[in-house]
Amino acid sequence: MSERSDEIFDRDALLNAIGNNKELMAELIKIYMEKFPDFLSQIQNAIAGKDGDSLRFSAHALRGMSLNVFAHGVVRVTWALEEMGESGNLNHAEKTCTALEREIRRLKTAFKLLTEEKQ
Amino acid sequence: MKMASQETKVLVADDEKTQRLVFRTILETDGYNVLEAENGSEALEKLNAEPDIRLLLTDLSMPELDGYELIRSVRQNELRYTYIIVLTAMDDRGSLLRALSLGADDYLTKPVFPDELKLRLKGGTRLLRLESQEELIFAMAKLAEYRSEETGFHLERVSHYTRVFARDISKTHPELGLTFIMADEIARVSPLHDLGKVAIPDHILHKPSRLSLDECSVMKTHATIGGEMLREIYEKTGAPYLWIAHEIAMCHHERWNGKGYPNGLSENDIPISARIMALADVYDALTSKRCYKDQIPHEKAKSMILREKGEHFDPMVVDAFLRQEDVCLAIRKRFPN
Repeated sequence: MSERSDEIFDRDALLNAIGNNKELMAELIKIYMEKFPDFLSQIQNAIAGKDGDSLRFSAHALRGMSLNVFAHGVVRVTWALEEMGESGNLNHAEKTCTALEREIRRLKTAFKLLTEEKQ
Repeated sequence: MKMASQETKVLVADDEKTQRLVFRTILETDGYNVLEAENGSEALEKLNAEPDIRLLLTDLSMPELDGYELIRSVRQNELRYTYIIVLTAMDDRGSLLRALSLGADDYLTKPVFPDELKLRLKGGTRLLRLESQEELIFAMAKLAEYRSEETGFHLERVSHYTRVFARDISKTHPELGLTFIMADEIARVSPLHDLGKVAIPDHILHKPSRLSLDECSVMKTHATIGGEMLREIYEKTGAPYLWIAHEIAMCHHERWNGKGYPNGLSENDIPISARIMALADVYDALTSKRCYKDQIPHEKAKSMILREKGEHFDPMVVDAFLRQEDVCLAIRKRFPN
């Protein structure tokens, strides 16, 4: 069964939160796309280095940015990673990071569809 | 919703660009002047440089200096209350409690909705307005000014002189820990220096000729009366700027050499605020016409002040006056008698 698109990215909620300002939405998505690769590689490095504090910090940062654009899928997974970093138990972190990469791919597709829809 | 005043400044401290952009867009359309900082250190710099920022929205997790340290530092150093709203992610109860215990006033959960943001800021603005009880206190200063018939722009000039001297000393003597915020606060409360004159009888206050020894003794009580009045209000309100006002009112007639009144304090026992005020007040008195004396030209006033360096006046304040001589002249020109 395919996942509902608003579970990946809730466009309507985002527009509602920013006063239906479509230009701002486009700008936020652009910044998100520019910034997430850095956060993702920080998360990957933290997991590779088994650095719980760094994982917590970088996952928290990506979660905050994702909350702002209502990217619920990424929020869910980064939250799990943040908690792993907090507890220091990184046993499932690699698997969760793979899930994060999948969520980001879905989000990119959702953003791309939105851009195409606009055109 | 009522638009905020164009002057209302909000500082947004967040390392995340999307958050700053969202806040800026929402708040600017509501008339706020939005300033941004990418971390706690930058936020502190902005707060120091612009003391009229009274609303702070801050994230907690930031590089360099995080939100907790930022809150701690703001609360430790503030003379006027800064309303602090923290941003938290969902279910981040531990962080939120820590921020509130350090002195944050309110919080917003990400993602932030515009209506909620505006309402929270409105709450903050309301609280800050309570501080405007200070306006009443400054109204008292005006009353004292009217009664003493030191009309014109005496209070305005003195306020500018004190700011200029205090900021100069702040830069040239960093070891004193006199920040720009404190310098501006000294200037802001300087109009209260002669508050005690409300209690001086008219026949003494308005006497056009020289005062007798007895009359002089009565006149001198204005320092203690004003100082005590402000100390009492400080004790009731706990507002730190009122302590500076108390120092100034109580000690602005003290002299560096210990020959002043009311307590004969000397040198560094006299608070720096009062040492600055002493020179500003005398310079303005010398260069202004009063009912009992004529105006003295700047150059003559300057040489009289130089003669009193290390006697009446703190040498450090005299040096600041000399460095800022041109600015003093400009202030005189801007606020003539």
